[in-house]
Amino acid sequence: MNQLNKILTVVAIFLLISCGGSQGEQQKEENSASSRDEIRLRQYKVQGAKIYSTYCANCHQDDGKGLAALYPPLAGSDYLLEDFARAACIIKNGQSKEIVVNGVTYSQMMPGNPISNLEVAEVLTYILNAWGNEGGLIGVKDVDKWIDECEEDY
Amino acid sequence: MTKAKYLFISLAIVAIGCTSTSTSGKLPIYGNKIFEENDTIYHTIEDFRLVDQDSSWVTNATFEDQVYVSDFFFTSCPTICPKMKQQMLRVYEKFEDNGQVSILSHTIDPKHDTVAVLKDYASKLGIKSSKWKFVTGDQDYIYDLGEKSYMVMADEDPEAAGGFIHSGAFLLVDKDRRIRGVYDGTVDEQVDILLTDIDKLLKEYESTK
Ligand code: HEC
Repeated sequence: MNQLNKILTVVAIFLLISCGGSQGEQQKEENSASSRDEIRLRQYKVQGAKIYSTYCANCHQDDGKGLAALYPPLAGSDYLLEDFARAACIIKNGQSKEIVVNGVTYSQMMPGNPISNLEVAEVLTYILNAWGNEGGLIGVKDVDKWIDECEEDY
Repeated sequence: MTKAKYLFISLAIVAIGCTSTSTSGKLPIYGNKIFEENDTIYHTIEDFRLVDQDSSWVTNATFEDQVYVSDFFFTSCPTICPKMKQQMLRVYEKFEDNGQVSILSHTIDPKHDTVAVLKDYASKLGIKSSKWKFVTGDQDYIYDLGEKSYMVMADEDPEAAGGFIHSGAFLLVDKDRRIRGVYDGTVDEQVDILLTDIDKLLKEYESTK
């Protein structure tokens, strides 16, 4: 028993040391531009997850799989991944025309959302990087531009 | 003689054991009780008549010898309804082949949710059998039924998202039209309880047969 404790302590110390080491390395990296984006991506994802559960999860579900032929999936959605600008417009303004997502036709109404462009960028970043999606970071400047140029026909 | 005594005692113990487990395993009965003479009269769902997604009448007789789960929603609801429908799908799937269990979803927006709209909604949700009935009717009639019979609140409210406020409750109704359970239809764990409660309720009827 005592011996087990000793072993555990030793292992714990080792882990602490090795973790501390990698943290130091990370701090060095933070100075480079790519790691600034990395941090922003992480922040956007955290904020975006909150927005998602408040405004989106009812319909698209926590796992992003949608609901039957009523609400389309966001996880692995070909429609979403094909055009980020269009996705930003849908999130802001809603949509009700017929669309095809992963081979299934949807035509239920999605209402627009009373959220800022920054929040659109955050939630879009979240859905583009959750559930196996790999869309990367969406900056708020891009969203500003896209929202200005949204088509009328939704 | 002594043997018979022991037998009697052990039978008595078994009997006590049985009744006590079966009463504690029983679901509560909700609503006001009225005591009349030696009888207790429980709150029951009043007579109703509504139309479902296949244009058929749905009345109390539709659920003769069945237990059913009831809720209130509307198809264009942007808030809790999709979550409720996802959870109700679990009830549908678990009891798909059980003729003793039905589902009754009332629209609280009958002006928009016509028979055709409900039909479309049900088929998009993947509902093939008539086990799950989506019903519509006169708006005031449905609100009244909700309030008096199912004890849930629904109302038009232009301020609310989608224009209506309503509860996300699922109600379990037994074969005698009594409410035996109330669950939050937006919460996974609550619907877990509903699923086991339906089993319990069906067992009650088995053991009284
Ligand atoms: C009331 C239910 C509802 C809510 C809430 C909702 N959506 Fe949608 N969403 C839909 C429907 C329905 C469609 C399909 C619209 C159509 O057919 O034109 C859709 C389409 C989409 C699409 C494009 C199709 C796809 O699957 O890729 C995206 C992206 C999307 N929604 C993201 C969101 C995000 C992000 C939120 C939260 C900010 C959100 N939605 C909130 C119902 C909803």
